[in-house]
Amino acid sequence: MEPIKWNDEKIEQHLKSLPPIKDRRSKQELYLKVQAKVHYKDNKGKRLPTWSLPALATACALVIFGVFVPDLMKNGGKMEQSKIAIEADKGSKGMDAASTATDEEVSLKSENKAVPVAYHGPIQESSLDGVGVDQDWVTVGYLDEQAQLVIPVSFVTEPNHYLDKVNEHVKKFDPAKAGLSGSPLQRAKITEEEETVFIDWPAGSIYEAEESLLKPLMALTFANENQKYKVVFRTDGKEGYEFPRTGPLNYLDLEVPGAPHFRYDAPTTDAFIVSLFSAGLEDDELPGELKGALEVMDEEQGYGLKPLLPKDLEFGVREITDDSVEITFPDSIELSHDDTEDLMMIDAILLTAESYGYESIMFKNANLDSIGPYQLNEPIEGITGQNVYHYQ
Amino acid sequence: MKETFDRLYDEYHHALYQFLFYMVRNRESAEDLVQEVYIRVLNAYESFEGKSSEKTWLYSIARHVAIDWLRKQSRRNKRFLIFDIKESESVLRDQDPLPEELVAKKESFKDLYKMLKRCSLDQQQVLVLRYIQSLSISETAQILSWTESKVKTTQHRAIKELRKWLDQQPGLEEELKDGTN
Repeated sequence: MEPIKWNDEKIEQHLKSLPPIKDRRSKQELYLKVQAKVHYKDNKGKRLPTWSLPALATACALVIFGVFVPDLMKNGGKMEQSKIAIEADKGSKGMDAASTATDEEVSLKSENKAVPVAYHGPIQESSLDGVGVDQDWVTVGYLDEQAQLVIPVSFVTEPNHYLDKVNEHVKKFDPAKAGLSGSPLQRAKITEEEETVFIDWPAGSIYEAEESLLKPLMALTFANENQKYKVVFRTDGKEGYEFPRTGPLNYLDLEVPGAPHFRYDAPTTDAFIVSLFSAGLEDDELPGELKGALEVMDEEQGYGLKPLLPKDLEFGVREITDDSVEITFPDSIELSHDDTEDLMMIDAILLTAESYGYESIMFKNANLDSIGPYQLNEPIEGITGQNVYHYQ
Repeated sequence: MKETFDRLYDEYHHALYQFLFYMVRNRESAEDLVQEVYIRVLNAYESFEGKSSEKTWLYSIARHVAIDWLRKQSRRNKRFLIFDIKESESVLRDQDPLPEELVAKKESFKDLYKMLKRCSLDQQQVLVLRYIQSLSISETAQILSWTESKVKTTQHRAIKELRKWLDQQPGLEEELKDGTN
Protein backbone atom coordinates (compact mmCIF):
# COMPACT_ATOMS: atom_id res chain seq x y z
CA MET A 1 0.00 0.00 0.00
CA GLU A 2 1.41 3.43 -0.95
CA PRO A 3 1.97 5.65 2.06
CA ILE A 4 -0.34 8.67 2.16
CA LYS A 5 1.52 11.94 2.05
CA TRP A 6 0.57 15.17 3.70
CA ASN A 7 -0.06 18.08 1.41
CA ASP A 8 -0.32 21.79 2.11
CA GLU A 9 -4.09 21.73 2.11
CA LYS A 10 -4.30 18.89 4.62
CA ILE A 11 -1.85 20.62 6.90
CA GLU A 12 -3.82 23.86 6.74
CA GLN A 13 -7.07 22.02 7.45
CA HIS A 14 -5.52 20.23 10.40
CA LEU A 15 -4.12 23.46 11.80
CA LYS A 16 -7.53 25.08 11.58
CA SER A 17 -9.09 22.08 13.31
CA LEU A 18 -6.71 21.92 16.25
CA PRO A 19 -8.91 21.90 19.34
CA PRO A 20 -9.67 25.12 21.19
CA ILE A 21 -7.95 25.16 24.58
CA LYS A 22 -9.96 26.99 27.21
CA ASP A 23 -8.93 28.74 30.38
CA ARG A 24 -10.49 26.81 33.23
CA ARG A 25 -10.66 29.75 35.55
CA SER A 26 -13.76 31.85 35.83
CA LYS A 27 -13.85 35.44 34.76
CA GLN A 28 -14.26 36.56 38.35
CA GLU A 29 -11.35 34.47 39.56
CA LEU A 30 -9.10 35.96 36.93
CA TYR A 31 -10.35 39.47 37.61
CA LEU A 32 -9.46 39.20 41.27
CA LYS A 33 -5.93 38.16 40.39
CA VAL A 34 -5.53 40.91 37.85
CA GLN A 35 -7.10 43.50 40.12
CA ALA A 36 -4.58 42.73 42.83
CA LYS A 37 -1.81 43.84 40.50
CA VAL A 38 -3.41 46.95 39.05
CA HIS A 39 -5.45 47.89 42.08
CA TYR A 40 -2.81 50.22 43.52
CA LYS A 41 -2.60 52.37 40.42
CA ASP A 42 -6.34 52.69 40.25
CA ASN A 43 -6.67 53.88 43.79
CA LYS A 44 -3.54 55.91 44.08
CA GLY A 45 -4.52 59.25 45.54
CA LYS A 46 -8.06 58.22 46.29
CA ARG A 47 -7.97 56.35 49.53
CA LEU A 48 -5.04 58.01 51.21
CA PRO A 49 -5.96 60.98 53.38
CA THR A 50 -4.62 64.32 52.19
CA TRP A 51 -2.01 64.57 54.94
CA SER A 52 -0.55 61.15 54.31
CA LEU A 53 1.73 61.88 51.36
CA PRO A 54 3.65 64.75 52.96
CA ALA A 55 3.88 62.70 56.15
CA LEU A 56 5.11 59.67 54.26
CA ALA A 57 7.65 61.75 52.36
CA THR A 58 8.94 63.25 55.58
CA ALA A 59 9.24 59.84 57.20
CA CYS A 60 11.11 58.47 54.17
CA ALA A 61 13.42 61.46 54.14
CA LEU A 62 14.25 60.95 57.82
CA VAL A 63 14.96 57.27 57.29
CA ILE A 64 17.13 57.99 54.26
CA PHE A 65 18.97 60.73 56.11
CA GLY A 66 19.57 58.62 59.20
CA VAL A 67 20.59 55.42 57.48
CA PHE A 68 22.24 56.37 54.26
CA VAL A 69 23.76 59.81 54.57
CA PRO A 70 26.90 58.64 56.42
CA ASP A 71 27.57 56.20 53.60
CA LEU A 72 26.74 58.66 50.88
CA MET A 73 29.33 60.96 52.32
CA LYS A 74 31.91 58.19 52.49
CA ASN A 75 31.20 56.79 49.05
CA GLY A 76 31.04 59.92 47.00
CA GLY A 77 27.28 59.72 46.78
CA LYS A 78 27.02 56.11 45.69
CA MET A 79 25.02 53.64 47.67
CA GLU A 80 24.89 50.13 46.37
CA GLN A 81 22.69 47.11 46.77
CA SER A 82 25.17 45.11 48.78
CA LYS A 83 25.56 47.84 51.29
CA ILE A 84 21.83 48.25 51.59
CA ALA A 85 21.60 44.55 52.14
CA ILE A 86 24.21 44.72 54.86
CA GLU A 87 22.29 47.49 56.54
CA ALA A 88 19.09 45.51 56.26
CA ASP A 89 20.85 42.52 57.74
CA LYS A 90 22.11 44.61 60.59
CA GLY A 91 18.69 46.07 61.10
CA SER A 92 17.28 42.62 61.57
CA LYS A 93 19.87 41.91 64.23
CA GLY A 94 18.94 44.92 66.31
CA MET A 95 19.37 48.63 66.49
CA ASP A 96 22.67 48.46 68.34
CA ALA A 97 24.39 46.76 65.47
CA ALA A 98 22.92 49.19 62.97
CA SER A 99 23.85 52.23 64.98
CA THR A 100 27.48 51.17 65.23
CA ALA A 101 28.06 50.97 61.49
CA THR A 102 31.67 51.88 60.82
CA ASP A 103 34.01 52.52 57.92
CA GLU A 104 35.14 48.90 57.82
CA GLU A 105 31.81 47.86 56.36
CA VAL A 106 32.60 49.44 53.07
CA SER A 107 36.36 49.21 53.08
CA LEU A 108 38.72 46.45 52.09
CA LYS A 109 40.68 44.08 54.23
CA SER A 110 43.74 44.07 52.05
CA GLU A 111 45.91 46.80 50.68
CA ASN A 112 43.00 49.20 50.32
CA LYS A 113 42.16 49.04 53.98
CA ALA A 114 40.98 52.61 54.36
CA VAL A 115 39.60 53.12 50.87
CA PRO A 116 35.82 53.11 50.74
CA VAL A 117 34.34 51.52 47.66
CA ALA A 118 31.03 51.71 45.91
CA TYR A 119 30.61 48.04 45.22
CA HIS A 120 28.15 46.97 42.58
CA GLY A 121 26.96 43.45 43.40
CA PRO A 122 24.84 41.02 41.41
CA ILE A 123 21.09 40.53 41.73
CA GLN A 124 19.31 37.57 43.21
CA GLU A 125 16.15 36.96 41.21
CA SER A 126 14.12 36.57 44.38
CA SER A 127 14.95 40.17 45.29
CA LEU A 128 13.00 41.32 42.24
CA ASP A 129 9.82 39.61 43.38
CA GLY A 130 7.43 40.30 46.14
CA VAL A 131 8.10 43.97 46.74
CA GLY A 132 4.69 45.00 45.45
CA VAL A 133 6.06 46.29 42.17
CA ASP A 134 7.19 44.06 39.34
CA GLN A 135 10.86 44.51 38.62
CA ASP A 136 13.14 43.22 35.99
CA TRP A 137 16.74 43.85 35.04
CA VAL A 138 18.97 44.39 32.06
CA THR A 139 22.71 44.22 31.47
CA VAL A 140 24.71 46.45 29.15
CA GLY A 141 28.41 46.03 28.37
CA TYR A 142 30.70 49.07 28.78
CA LEU A 143 34.44 49.40 28.38
CA ASP A 144 36.87 50.25 31.11
CA GLU A 145 38.90 53.44 30.80
CA GLN A 146 41.80 51.64 29.11
CA ALA A 147 39.51 49.76 26.70
CA GLN A 148 41.03 46.47 27.93
CA LEU A 149 37.93 44.99 29.51
CA VAL A 150 34.20 44.82 29.10
CA ILE A 151 32.42 45.76 32.30
CA PRO A 152 28.85 44.44 32.29
CA VAL A 153 26.62 46.82 34.21
CA SER A 154 23.13 45.76 35.24
CA PHE A 155 20.17 47.96 35.99
CA VAL A 156 16.99 47.15 37.84
CA THR A 157 14.12 48.16 35.60
CA GLU A 158 10.41 47.96 35.14
CA PRO A 159 9.36 44.87 33.18
CA ASN A 160 9.75 45.50 29.49
CA HIS A 161 11.09 43.80 26.39
CA TYR A 162 14.78 43.12 26.79
CA LEU A 163 15.90 45.26 23.88
CA ASP A 164 13.78 48.20 25.00
CA LYS A 165 15.50 47.99 28.36
CA VAL A 166 18.91 47.92 26.68
CA ASN A 167 18.06 50.96 24.58
CA GLU A 168 16.66 52.80 27.58
CA HIS A 169 19.77 52.39 29.72
CA VAL A 170 22.26 52.89 26.91
CA LYS A 171 20.75 56.37 26.70
CA LYS A 172 20.21 56.96 30.39
CA PHE A 173 23.41 55.72 32.04
CA ASP A 174 26.47 57.94 32.11
CA PRO A 175 29.39 55.48 32.36
CA ALA A 176 31.85 58.22 33.31
CA LYS A 177 30.09 58.53 36.65
CA ALA A 178 31.10 54.96 37.45
CA GLY A 179 34.64 55.36 36.11
CA LEU A 180 33.92 53.60 32.83
CA SER A 181 34.23 54.71 29.25
CA GLY A 182 31.37 54.43 26.82
CA SER A 183 29.84 51.53 24.99
CA PRO A 184 29.92 51.17 21.20
CA LEU A 185 26.24 50.36 21.58
CA GLN A 186 25.64 54.01 22.42
CA ARG A 187 26.46 54.83 18.81
CA ALA A 188 24.25 52.12 17.34
CA LYS A 189 20.66 51.78 16.33
CA ILE A 190 19.60 48.48 17.86
CA THR A 191 16.57 46.47 16.82
CA GLU A 192 15.55 42.86 17.26
CA GLU A 193 13.72 40.04 15.58
CA GLU A 194 13.39 36.76 17.38
CA GLU A 195 16.79 35.59 18.61
CA THR A 196 18.59 38.03 16.35
CA VAL A 197 19.71 41.52 17.27
CA PHE A 198 20.36 44.00 14.48
CA ILE A 199 23.08 46.52 15.20
CA ASP A 200 23.33 49.39 12.80
CA TRP A 201 26.30 51.74 13.05
CA PRO A 202 27.19 54.71 10.92
CA ALA A 203 30.26 53.84 8.82
CA GLY A 204 33.57 54.31 10.63
CA SER A 205 32.10 54.48 14.10
CA ILE A 206 33.99 51.52 15.63
CA TYR A 207 37.51 52.25 16.84
CA GLU A 208 40.27 49.70 16.39
CA ALA A 209 40.80 49.43 20.15
CA GLU A 210 37.17 48.53 20.67
CA GLU A 211 36.98 45.87 18.03
CA SER A 212 38.58 42.99 19.92
CA LEU A 213 36.15 43.52 22.79
CA LEU A 214 33.01 43.77 20.70
CA LYS A 215 32.22 40.09 20.93
CA PRO A 216 32.30 39.87 24.75
CA LEU A 217 30.60 43.26 24.99
CA MET A 218 27.69 42.13 22.87
CA ALA A 219 27.58 38.66 24.39
CA LEU A 220 27.48 40.08 27.92
CA THR A 221 24.70 42.43 26.83
CA PHE A 222 22.53 40.11 24.78
CA ALA A 223 23.48 36.56 25.76
CA ASN A 224 24.22 36.99 29.44
CA GLU A 225 21.92 34.23 30.64
CA ASN A 226 23.65 31.40 28.84
CA GLN A 227 21.34 31.47 25.87
CA LYS A 228 22.87 31.72 22.41
CA TYR A 229 22.18 34.82 20.46
CA LYS A 230 22.99 36.20 17.05
CA VAL A 231 23.81 39.78 16.15
CA VAL A 232 23.57 40.96 12.58
CA PHE A 233 25.59 44.03 11.61
CA ARG A 234 24.39 46.80 9.37
CA THR A 235 25.93 50.05 8.20
CA ASP A 236 23.47 52.87 7.73
CA GLY A 237 20.76 50.32 7.03
CA LYS A 238 22.83 48.21 4.62
CA GLU A 239 23.93 44.67 5.34
CA GLY A 240 27.31 44.13 7.02
CA TYR A 241 29.84 46.39 8.72
CA GLU A 242 33.45 47.08 7.76
CA PHE A 243 35.51 46.68 10.95
CA PRO A 244 38.95 48.30 11.12
CA ARG A 245 40.81 45.00 11.71
CA THR A 246 38.50 42.16 10.71
CA GLY A 247 37.13 43.85 7.63
CA PRO A 248 33.56 43.25 6.52
CA LEU A 249 31.41 41.14 8.81
CA ASN A 250 27.72 40.35 8.54
CA TYR A 251 26.96 38.66 11.82
CA LEU A 252 28.30 37.10 15.01
CA ASP A 253 26.95 34.25 17.09
CA LEU A 254 27.12 35.10 20.75
CA GLU A 255 27.54 32.96 23.80
CA VAL A 256 28.98 33.70 27.21
CA PRO A 257 31.30 30.87 28.26
CA GLY A 258 31.99 29.80 31.84
CA ALA A 259 34.85 31.87 33.22
CA PRO A 260 36.54 32.80 36.51
CA HIS A 261 35.57 36.16 37.97
CA PHE A 262 37.78 38.85 39.43
CA ARG A 263 37.64 42.30 40.86
CA TYR A 264 38.06 45.44 38.84
CA ASP A 265 38.49 48.83 40.49
CA ALA A 266 37.54 51.80 38.36
CA PRO A 267 39.47 55.07 38.72
CA THR A 268 36.53 56.31 40.76
CA THR A 269 35.64 54.45 43.97
CA ASP A 270 33.51 51.99 42.01
CA ALA A 271 34.36 48.29 42.27
CA PHE A 272 33.04 45.68 39.87
CA ILE A 273 33.24 41.93 39.44
CA VAL A 274 34.27 40.95 35.97
CA SER A 275 34.96 37.62 34.28
CA LEU A 276 38.09 36.74 32.34
CA PHE A 277 35.86 36.45 29.28
CA SER A 278 35.48 40.22 29.55
CA ALA A 279 39.13 40.60 28.54
CA GLY A 280 38.35 39.10 25.14
CA LEU A 281 39.66 35.58 25.85
CA GLU A 282 38.19 32.84 23.72
CA ASP A 283 36.31 29.86 25.10
CA ASP A 284 39.27 27.51 24.69
CA GLU A 285 41.53 29.85 26.66
CA LEU A 286 39.28 29.67 29.72
CA PRO A 287 39.04 26.90 32.32
CA GLY A 288 36.57 24.28 31.17
CA GLU A 289 35.19 23.52 34.63
CA LEU A 290 34.27 25.35 37.80
CA LYS A 291 37.02 23.61 39.79
CA GLY A 292 39.67 24.87 37.38
CA ALA A 293 38.18 28.35 37.44
CA LEU A 294 38.32 28.56 41.24
CA GLU A 295 41.95 27.49 41.13
CA VAL A 296 42.97 30.53 39.08
CA MET A 297 40.82 32.99 40.98
CA ASP A 298 43.57 33.67 43.51
CA GLU A 299 45.93 34.98 40.83
CA GLU A 300 46.48 38.46 39.42
CA GLN A 301 45.35 38.42 35.80
CA GLY A 302 46.52 41.61 34.15
CA TYR A 303 43.94 43.86 32.49
CA GLY A 304 43.46 45.37 35.95
CA LEU A 305 41.75 42.21 37.23
CA LYS A 306 42.53 41.44 40.86
CA PRO A 307 41.94 38.17 42.70
CA LEU A 308 39.20 37.94 45.28
CA LEU A 309 40.05 34.45 46.55
CA PRO A 310 42.81 34.06 49.13
CA LYS A 311 46.11 32.78 47.79
CA ASP A 312 46.81 29.05 47.66
CA LEU A 313 43.71 27.82 49.44
CA GLU A 314 41.80 24.96 47.96
CA PHE A 315 38.04 25.14 47.61
CA GLY A 316 36.15 21.85 47.41
CA VAL A 317 33.76 21.46 44.50
CA ARG A 318 31.14 18.73 44.39
CA GLU A 319 28.54 18.65 41.66
CA ILE A 320 25.19 17.57 43.09
CA THR A 321 23.18 17.65 39.88
CA ASP A 322 23.68 19.19 36.44
CA ASP A 323 22.70 22.58 37.80
CA SER A 324 23.56 22.46 41.49
CA VAL A 325 26.93 22.40 43.16
CA GLU A 326 28.39 22.34 46.65
CA ILE A 327 31.43 24.47 47.37
CA THR A 328 33.42 23.83 50.55
CA PHE A 329 35.52 26.60 52.04
CA PRO A 330 38.99 25.69 53.32
CA ASP A 331 39.23 25.42 57.10
CA SER A 332 41.57 28.36 57.43
CA ILE A 333 39.22 30.87 55.88
CA GLU A 334 37.52 33.37 58.15
CA LEU A 335 34.57 35.26 56.83
CA SER A 336 32.97 38.27 58.37
CA HIS A 337 29.35 39.07 57.69
CA ASP A 338 30.00 42.78 57.35
CA ASP A 339 33.13 42.71 55.26
CA THR A 340 32.63 43.98 51.72
CA GLU A 341 35.60 42.10 50.34
CA ASP A 342 34.29 38.84 51.78
CA LEU A 343 30.95 39.59 50.17
CA MET A 344 32.72 40.27 46.89
CA MET A 345 34.52 36.94 47.18
CA ILE A 346 31.19 35.15 47.68
CA ASP A 347 29.69 37.06 44.74
CA ALA A 348 32.67 36.20 42.54
CA ILE A 349 32.27 32.49 43.38
CA LEU A 350 28.52 32.63 42.78
CA LEU A 351 28.91 34.42 39.44
CA THR A 352 31.63 31.99 38.39
CA ALA A 353 29.52 28.98 39.33
CA GLU A 354 26.53 30.51 37.56
CA SER A 355 28.60 31.03 34.42
CA TYR A 356 29.33 27.30 34.39
CA GLY A 357 25.62 26.57 34.45
CA TYR A 358 25.06 26.01 38.18
CA GLU A 359 21.77 27.53 39.20
CA SER A 360 21.94 26.46 42.85
CA ILE A 361 25.08 26.85 44.96
CA MET A 362 25.44 25.48 48.48
CA PHE A 363 28.35 26.65 50.60
CA LYS A 364 29.88 24.37 53.22
CA ASN A 365 32.24 25.18 56.06
CA ALA A 366 31.65 28.92 55.80
CA ASN A 367 31.30 29.21 59.58
CA LEU A 368 28.92 32.05 59.02
CA ASP A 369 25.15 32.07 58.78
CA SER A 370 24.74 35.02 56.49
CA ILE A 371 26.64 37.63 54.54
CA GLY A 372 25.11 40.51 52.63
CA PRO A 373 21.86 39.27 51.14
CA TYR A 374 22.80 35.58 51.38
CA GLN A 375 21.94 32.90 53.88
CA LEU A 376 24.99 30.66 53.78
CA ASN A 377 23.29 27.71 55.45
CA GLU A 378 20.94 27.12 52.53
CA PRO A 379 21.38 26.84 48.76
CA ILE A 380 21.75 30.18 47.00
CA GLU A 381 19.79 30.37 43.78
CA GLY A 382 18.92 32.77 41.01
CA ILE A 383 22.08 34.84 40.85
CA THR A 384 21.60 37.06 37.88
CA GLY A 385 22.56 40.47 36.58
CA GLN A 386 25.99 41.73 37.49
CA ASN A 387 27.45 44.96 38.81
CA VAL A 388 24.06 46.43 39.52
CA TYR A 389 24.08 50.18 39.26
CA HIS A 390 21.50 52.22 41.11
CA TYR A 391 20.93 55.69 39.80
CA GLN A 392 21.26 58.54 42.26
CA MET B 1 -11.37 49.05 35.56
CA LYS B 2 -13.94 46.28 36.00
CA GLU B 3 -15.89 47.46 32.99
CA THR B 4 -12.82 47.54 30.79
CA PHE B 5 -11.72 44.14 32.03
CA ASP B 6 -15.18 42.66 31.43
CA ARG B 7 -15.29 43.97 27.91
CA LEU B 8 -11.78 42.82 27.03
CA TYR B 9 -12.46 39.45 28.60
CA ASP B 10 -15.71 38.94 26.73
CA GLU B 11 -14.24 39.96 23.40
CA TYR B 12 -10.75 38.53 23.48
CA HIS B 13 -10.09 36.22 26.39
CA HIS B 14 -10.63 32.90 24.71
CA ALA B 15 -8.51 33.89 21.71
CA LEU B 16 -5.68 35.33 23.79
CA TYR B 17 -5.54 32.32 26.09
CA GLN B 18 -5.54 29.97 23.13
CA PHE B 19 -2.77 31.93 21.41
CA LEU B 20 -0.65 31.84 24.57
CA PHE B 21 -1.31 28.17 25.13
CA TYR B 22 -0.20 27.20 21.64
CA MET B 23 2.92 29.33 22.06
CA VAL B 24 4.01 28.00 25.47
CA ARG B 25 2.23 24.59 25.39
CA ASN B 26 1.52 24.55 29.07
CA ARG B 27 -1.88 25.30 30.53
CA GLU B 28 -0.72 26.75 33.83
CA SER B 29 1.89 28.95 32.17
CA ALA B 30 -0.69 30.19 29.69
CA GLU B 31 -2.94 31.10 32.65
CA ASP B 32 -0.16 33.10 34.26
CA LEU B 33 0.71 34.78 31.01
CA VAL B 34 -2.80 35.78 30.07
CA GLN B 35 -3.09 37.32 33.51
CA GLU B 36 0.13 39.23 32.83
CA VAL B 37 -1.33 40.43 29.52
CA TYR B 38 -4.36 41.90 31.30
CA ILE B 39 -2.12 43.59 33.85
CA ARG B 40 0.01 45.19 31.15
CA VAL B 41 -3.01 46.13 29.09
CA LEU B 42 -4.93 47.68 31.96
CA ASN B 43 -1.89 49.55 33.21
CA ALA B 44 -1.31 50.96 29.75
CA TYR B 45 -4.91 51.23 28.64
CA GLU B 46 -5.19 54.98 29.03
CA SER B 47 -2.07 55.51 26.94
CA PHE B 48 -3.31 53.29 24.10
CA GLU B 49 -3.26 55.67 21.16
CA GLY B 50 -5.36 53.64 18.81
CA LYS B 51 -2.68 53.62 16.11
CA SER B 52 -3.40 49.93 15.68
CA SER B 53 -6.66 48.17 16.41
CA GLU B 54 -7.34 47.12 19.96
CA LYS B 55 -7.28 43.51 18.87
CA THR B 56 -3.82 43.63 17.29
CA TRP B 57 -2.52 45.68 20.22
CA LEU B 58 -3.66 42.97 22.64
CA TYR B 59 -2.14 40.21 20.52
CA SER B 60 1.08 42.16 20.22
CA ILE B 61 1.33 42.40 24.01
CA ALA B 62 0.48 38.71 24.35
CA ARG B 63 3.15 37.84 21.83
CA HIS B 64 5.81 39.79 23.72
CA VAL B 65 4.74 38.25 27.00
CA ALA B 66 5.04 34.78 25.46
CA ILE B 67 8.46 35.45 23.97
CA ASP B 68 9.75 36.89 27.24
CA TRP B 69 8.49 33.79 29.02
CA LEU B 70 10.17 31.46 26.54
CA ARG B 71 13.43 33.30 26.98
CA LYS B 72 13.17 33.20 30.73
CA GLN B 73 12.54 29.48 30.59
CA SER B 74 15.57 29.07 28.43
CA ARG B 75 17.71 31.05 30.85
CA ARG B 76 16.46 29.13 33.84
CA ASN B 77 17.24 25.79 32.35
CA LYS B 78 20.97 25.88 32.25
CA ARG B 79 21.10 22.19 31.59
CA PHE B 80 20.32 23.10 28.02
CA LEU B 81 23.42 25.23 27.88
CA ILE B 82 24.68 23.64 24.72
CA PHE B 83 21.50 24.15 22.76
CA ASP B 84 20.17 27.29 21.25
CA ILE B 85 16.90 28.77 22.42
CA LYS B 86 14.71 26.93 19.94
CA GLU B 87 16.16 23.56 20.79
CA SER B 88 15.94 24.12 24.50
CA GLU B 89 12.32 25.16 24.16
CA SER B 90 11.63 21.99 22.26
CA VAL B 91 13.14 19.89 25.00
CA LEU B 92 11.19 21.80 27.60
CA ARG B 93 7.97 21.38 25.77
CA ASP B 94 8.44 17.67 25.37
CA GLN B 95 7.99 17.44 29.11
CA ASP B 96 4.53 18.98 28.95
CA PRO B 97 1.72 16.50 28.47
CA LEU B 98 -0.68 16.82 25.57
CA PRO B 99 -3.69 18.92 26.52
CA GLU B 100 -6.69 16.71 27.19
CA GLU B 101 -8.56 18.41 24.36
CA LEU B 102 -6.00 16.90 22.02
CA VAL B 103 -5.74 13.47 23.65
CA ALA B 104 -9.06 12.45 22.14
CA LYS B 105 -8.06 13.61 18.69
CA LYS B 106 -6.56 11.37 16.04
CA GLU B 107 -2.86 10.74 15.78
CA SER B 108 -2.49 13.09 12.85
CA PHE B 109 -3.46 16.04 15.08
CA LYS B 110 -1.09 14.92 17.79
CA ASP B 111 1.69 14.62 15.24
CA LEU B 112 0.92 18.04 13.86
CA TYR B 113 0.92 19.51 17.37
CA LYS B 114 4.26 17.91 18.10
CA MET B 115 5.81 18.97 14.81
CA LEU B 116 4.61 22.53 15.25
CA LYS B 117 7.16 23.02 17.96
CA ARG B 118 9.96 22.14 15.56
CA CYS B 119 9.24 25.29 13.60
CA SER B 120 11.12 28.45 14.42
CA LEU B 121 9.46 30.87 16.78
CA ASP B 122 8.69 33.14 13.82
CA GLN B 123 6.99 30.30 11.98
CA GLN B 124 5.06 29.14 15.03
CA GLN B 125 3.68 32.61 15.63
CA VAL B 126 2.54 32.92 12.06
CA LEU B 127 0.93 29.46 12.01
CA VAL B 128 -0.87 30.02 15.30
CA LEU B 129 -2.08 33.47 14.35
CA ARG B 130 -3.07 32.61 10.79
CA TYR B 131 -4.63 29.18 11.18
CA ILE B 132 -5.48 28.54 14.82
CA GLN B 133 -6.54 32.12 15.48
CA SER B 134 -7.86 32.72 11.95
CA LEU B 135 -6.33 36.17 11.70
CA SER B 136 -5.80 37.85 8.36
CA ILE B 137 -2.40 38.43 6.77
CA SER B 138 -2.78 42.11 7.51
CA GLU B 139 -3.64 41.57 11.18
CA THR B 140 -0.78 39.11 11.58
CA ALA B 141 1.64 41.57 10.02
CA GLN B 142 0.51 44.30 12.40
CA ILE B 143 0.87 42.06 15.45
CA LEU B 144 4.34 40.95 14.45
CA SER B 145 5.38 44.38 13.13
CA TRP B 146 6.30 42.74 9.86
CA THR B 147 5.43 43.44 6.26
CA GLU B 148 2.61 41.39 4.79
CA SER B 149 5.03 39.84 2.36
CA LYS B 150 7.19 38.59 5.23
CA VAL B 151 4.13 37.01 6.82
CA LYS B 152 3.31 35.24 3.56
CA THR B 153 6.86 34.01 3.06
CA THR B 154 7.15 32.78 6.64
CA GLN B 155 3.78 31.06 6.41
CA HIS B 156 4.76 29.34 3.16
CA ARG B 157 8.07 28.13 4.59
CA ALA B 158 6.41 27.00 7.79
CA ILE B 159 3.92 24.81 5.94
CA LYS B 160 6.75 23.34 3.89
CA GLU B 161 8.75 22.59 7.02
CA LEU B 162 5.74 21.00 8.67
CA ARG B 163 5.08 18.88 5.62
CA LYS B 164 8.67 17.66 5.55
CA TRP B 165 8.53 16.54 9.17
CA LEU B 166 5.04 15.12 8.98
CA ASP B 167 6.02 13.01 5.98
CA GLN B 168 8.59 11.38 8.20
CA GLN B 169 5.91 10.36 10.71
CA PRO B 170 4.61 6.80 10.33
CA GLY B 171 1.09 5.46 10.75
CA LEU B 172 -1.17 8.02 9.16
CA GLU B 173 -2.59 5.96 6.35
CA GLU B 174 -5.55 4.50 8.13
CA GLU B 175 -6.89 7.57 9.80
CA LEU B 176 -6.39 9.82 6.82
CA LYS B 177 -8.59 7.45 4.93
CA ASP B 178 -11.19 7.78 7.67
CA GLY B 179 -11.21 11.54 7.57
CA THR B 180 -9.40 14.08 9.67
CA ASN B 181 -11.17 13.88 12.99
